[in-house]
Amino acid sequence: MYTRAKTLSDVSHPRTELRAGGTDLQERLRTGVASLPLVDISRIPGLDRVHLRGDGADLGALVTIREVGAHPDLQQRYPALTLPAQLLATPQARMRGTMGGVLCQRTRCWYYRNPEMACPKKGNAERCPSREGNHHFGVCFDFGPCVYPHPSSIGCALLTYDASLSVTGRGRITVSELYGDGTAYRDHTLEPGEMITAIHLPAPAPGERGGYQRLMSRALAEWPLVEVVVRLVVDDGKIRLARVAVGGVANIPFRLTEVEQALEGQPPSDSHLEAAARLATRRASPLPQTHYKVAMVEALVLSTLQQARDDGSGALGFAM
Amino acid sequence: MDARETKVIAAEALINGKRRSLRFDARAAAAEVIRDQLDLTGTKVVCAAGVCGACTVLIDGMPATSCTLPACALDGAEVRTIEDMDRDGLHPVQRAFLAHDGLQCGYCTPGFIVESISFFDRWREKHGKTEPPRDAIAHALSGHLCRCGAYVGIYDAVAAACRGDFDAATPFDYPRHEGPEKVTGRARYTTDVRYDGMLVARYLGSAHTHARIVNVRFEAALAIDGVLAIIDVLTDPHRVARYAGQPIAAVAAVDEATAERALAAIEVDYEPRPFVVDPAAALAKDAPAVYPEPKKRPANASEGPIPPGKWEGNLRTPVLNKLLSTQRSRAEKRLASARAGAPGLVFVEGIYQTGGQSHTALEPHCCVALWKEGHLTVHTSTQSVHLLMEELAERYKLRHDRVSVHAEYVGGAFGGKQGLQLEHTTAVELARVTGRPVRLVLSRHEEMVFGGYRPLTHIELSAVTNDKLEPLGITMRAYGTAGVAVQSQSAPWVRMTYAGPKDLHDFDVTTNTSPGRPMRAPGGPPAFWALESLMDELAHRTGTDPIALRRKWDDSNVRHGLYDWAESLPAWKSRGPAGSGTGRFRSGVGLAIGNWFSAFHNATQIQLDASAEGITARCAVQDMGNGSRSVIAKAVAEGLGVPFRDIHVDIGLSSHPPGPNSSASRTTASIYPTSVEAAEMLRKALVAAAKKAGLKSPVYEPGGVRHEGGFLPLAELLRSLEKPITVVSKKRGGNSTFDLLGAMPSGRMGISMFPKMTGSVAVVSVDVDLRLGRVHPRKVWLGLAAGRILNPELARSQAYGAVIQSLGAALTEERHYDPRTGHLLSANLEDYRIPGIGDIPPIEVFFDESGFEKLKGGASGMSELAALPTAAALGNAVFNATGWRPHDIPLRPQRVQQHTAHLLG
Repeated sequence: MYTRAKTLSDVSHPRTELRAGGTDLQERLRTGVASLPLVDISRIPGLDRVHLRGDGADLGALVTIREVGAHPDLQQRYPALTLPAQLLATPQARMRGTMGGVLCQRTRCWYYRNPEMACPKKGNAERCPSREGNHHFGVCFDFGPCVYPHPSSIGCALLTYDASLSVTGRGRITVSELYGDGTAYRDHTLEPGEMITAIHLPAPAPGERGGYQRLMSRALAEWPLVEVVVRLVVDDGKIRLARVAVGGVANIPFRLTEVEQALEGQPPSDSHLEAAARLATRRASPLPQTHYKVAMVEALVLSTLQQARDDGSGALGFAM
Repeated sequence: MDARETKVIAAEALINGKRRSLRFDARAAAAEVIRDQLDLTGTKVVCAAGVCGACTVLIDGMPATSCTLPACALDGAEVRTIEDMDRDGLHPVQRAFLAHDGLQCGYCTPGFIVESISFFDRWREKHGKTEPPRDAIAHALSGHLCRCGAYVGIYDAVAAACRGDFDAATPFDYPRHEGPEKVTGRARYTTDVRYDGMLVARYLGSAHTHARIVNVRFEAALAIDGVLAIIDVLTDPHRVARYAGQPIAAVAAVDEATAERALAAIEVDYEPRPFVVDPAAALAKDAPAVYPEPKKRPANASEGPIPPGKWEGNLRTPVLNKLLSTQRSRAEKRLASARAGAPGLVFVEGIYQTGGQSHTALEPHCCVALWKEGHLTVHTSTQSVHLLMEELAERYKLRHDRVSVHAEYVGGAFGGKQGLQLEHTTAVELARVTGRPVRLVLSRHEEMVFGGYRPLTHIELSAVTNDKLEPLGITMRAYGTAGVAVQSQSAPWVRMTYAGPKDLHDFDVTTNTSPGRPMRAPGGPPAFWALESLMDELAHRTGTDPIALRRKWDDSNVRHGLYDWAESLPAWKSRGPAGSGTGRFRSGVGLAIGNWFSAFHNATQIQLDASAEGITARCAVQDMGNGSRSVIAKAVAEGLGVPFRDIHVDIGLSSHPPGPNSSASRTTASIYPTSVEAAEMLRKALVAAAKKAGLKSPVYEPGGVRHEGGFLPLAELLRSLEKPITVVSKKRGGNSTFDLLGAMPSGRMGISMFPKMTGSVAVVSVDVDLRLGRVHPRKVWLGLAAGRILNPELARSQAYGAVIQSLGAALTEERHYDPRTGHLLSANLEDYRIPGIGDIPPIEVFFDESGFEKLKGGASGMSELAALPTAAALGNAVFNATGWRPHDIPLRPQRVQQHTAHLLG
């Protein structure tokens, strides 16, 4: 079954899968991992605009990732958002992938994606097969039953801005509310028929700096072992505001508030950044095969903090 | 509401400038519509998951992967595919790809071209006619993967196009004969072959990792409308599936969806058995046996026959081991006394391991088969057109002229597509029972599961020397794991490289995983990873220069020129002592060597047909990106003194005179001298024809015939021919197999050996990021001594590709299984990480062409030789940078960080 939604009211079917860019869904449709009826939301009018307000910005759910990454005003105001938007996935995926879709991606778990394997997120298993099986790329912050990292880099970035989301039928929710606490077998908390329509970014502070790094085995275009988003405001030799979110290490994107607290009010010297980065893994609880990620989290947090301090820009010279 | 129920959508799109009405299922991807409905097969589907970019098209001016693009998005859109890129003649980017040889097999090329053209337009708009930095090109093309490793040429091509080198449509030179077909998407591969009434075949794979197949019932599946046939394809004589996904049955149906439904309806009764997937666990005392039956019929991971072996559980000892060693007891004694601390002896030992490396050629294993009036036609992606024809004829009891094998274009092979394979017998048998053409194309998942991989190794190695640095002994115990297959040999390469006594053993450790297959220099890269890491350690331990030590130990003079060259490299000369750097980033330089045999196929013949239409060279050889067409065209063109592109080359068809398998690096050494000979024969025939036509004292001169009345250009002479001329080069004669160890197959495979080994040396410089555990190769130098280089651009492309595949094995590529079910988890191009363009450093290739004058044609193959030394040179560079000696590859970040992070303090 297939419906092409003309307005938001066409979206509210129970038991459907929404399709915008298709970058995630098409693969799951091909392998049979996704099998619900489709609602095509890609042509709902009015959702594909970036609206800059004096006190913030609104991004329609159908705005593409590329558009966000390449937007000069967003680069200047929200560097910690535009950096991942220029580096995640592939250029082609950023071209078609939408901001709403990238937040609602399903897990990249090699059990979930493999049509031969059972997984609770597909509804054909009771327990996470990766936890007792191979979780080489799994979490090192063990928040809940699923041990595969959440894929949304943009989710991490939005956490650093305390962004909120407009969701049909639910009004405004926070990004943390979108993802919950990781204790359920879900990739997000939206119910079928609910849809993100817009992302709202609060006003940036003067002197916003951003940092974003992905630790991968290749140079580009790979799901990260660890990724870190840093938002930093430095004023008069002191860190006035620090936000650090981490991905690739838990089944939800989340903030390292212990690192943030240690940074705020301190000068951005190497020794202070190092001391704060050491707190990054306080809550870590690695699995047998993911101990290696713990050291990587601390290393990448430090490296990304240094990037935000030393460069901080939201534009990448080579992004086209 | 049935979610699987199809809903047909009607859409209109502007495709390559033409308005087209389309109809498709709402769930379909645009790639399916583009390839199957519009027959625009230049757009290739490889990963089908948005990772590799082969299917990239422009939609409303911007690139998108059409495998993840909903077909519904085509409605009202303007789409341009590769077929439209030369609308106004070749685009500057296409010309640049040709001139800089930014392609090999050509399967990824359409995607790269479309993306590069889009980048070119945006770059020009923003920066004018300037050259983009390497980083910008890497980012723009990061959504594309090339398995041949054509990235060096791609960088150069995109840079040259952007800075304006190819803006003018003036004539230009390019080295790859069939390049224009590949950069325009016109090259038709097996996956692009379409016949009317063609059926689609699919495999049912074993749901269990080890199980006896008690019963299989097809009735329910056969009752489905559109299912035409189902056959049993389990080849195991004991009716046992020994790895997860092993093909049990195959379905032929009218389309993919119907075949899919049929697979689900096949009923299989399994009797599951215990299994083992980990090689170390397979050697445990109570490990489940992969072959518990007394009569074992393991698959073959090598290119030769399987010699007898002794089995203890999953450990197999081939009898061949006796032949591997030389002065064995002397090696053992020296090792024992060195171990006991005898004065004057220096002893090093280590355990070195390599992971399995998947071939994952971008064109998967595939076959289109049809029978017509007792004639069998097979289109397939193969590296052995001629051999496959012979094997099919034998299997189906047909005369050779009743079998046609077509492989005009082959989208990569790397050793994994040799001879008669399951995809052939499956498609052929389904075509026979249905009486219709049948197409079987493995999905990427299947290709990753059973398309082949280089076996895993665990190699225990030691070496002894004295204060004079004499080669006193090498001992080796190599355990290879090729899953359910055997014969992954590493020891022969160690025997053939260094002098001195040797005690060498190869073993197989079987597991319940899919069979490994021969891969580019089978057994070689793991052997040289171990051997050359150990030699570096020996140099370090004795305080010797690594090149000086190798000069002492090397059993051959083939590398002398390469050692001189390596010693002259500034990067090598200026390297510091191991582990002497400070800070987060440590730099190092390493070196390693490779050694490989020089082979040819003695039955290869080249046919030349000369007529008014021109000159066509014919041979049942194939071109998988290795440059067969170009070698033939160049040899014939030089022989006749005409431009390279005036020679037509018609290969990839088994009815032509026999050609070599493209394996054992023997393609060039087989087709070059025979092409030269054929050209010589044609010259004589043309002179004879000229004489017959009444010309006085004709002699052949470059480009035509000189006679008393003047000069007759070749083209005119051809036009005046009374009847076409055909010449065929002679067979090289006899089976002069110089068989180095008694291990190499001869006979039908037809490997003849030239009695001198070829040599390689690699130097690699790296930066190691201690904080993140990342190894960044900064530059690779590769020196090759393999005789004459006939076509330098293509030889360099081959060498680059070998280096790049070695970097993948050394840094990123790793196969992962589920320990509880035995299924392969890294069964896609997202979880199995082959190098991308951003991972490729500048690569410099040096050829020492001396030393092979006695080989007919003077040119040896080098595709395997080039694949040997890079990994160990990189490992040795990491040692030089950090003081930590890597033993296991791949050097993924966690492995490096685990061993080096403490250096940061």
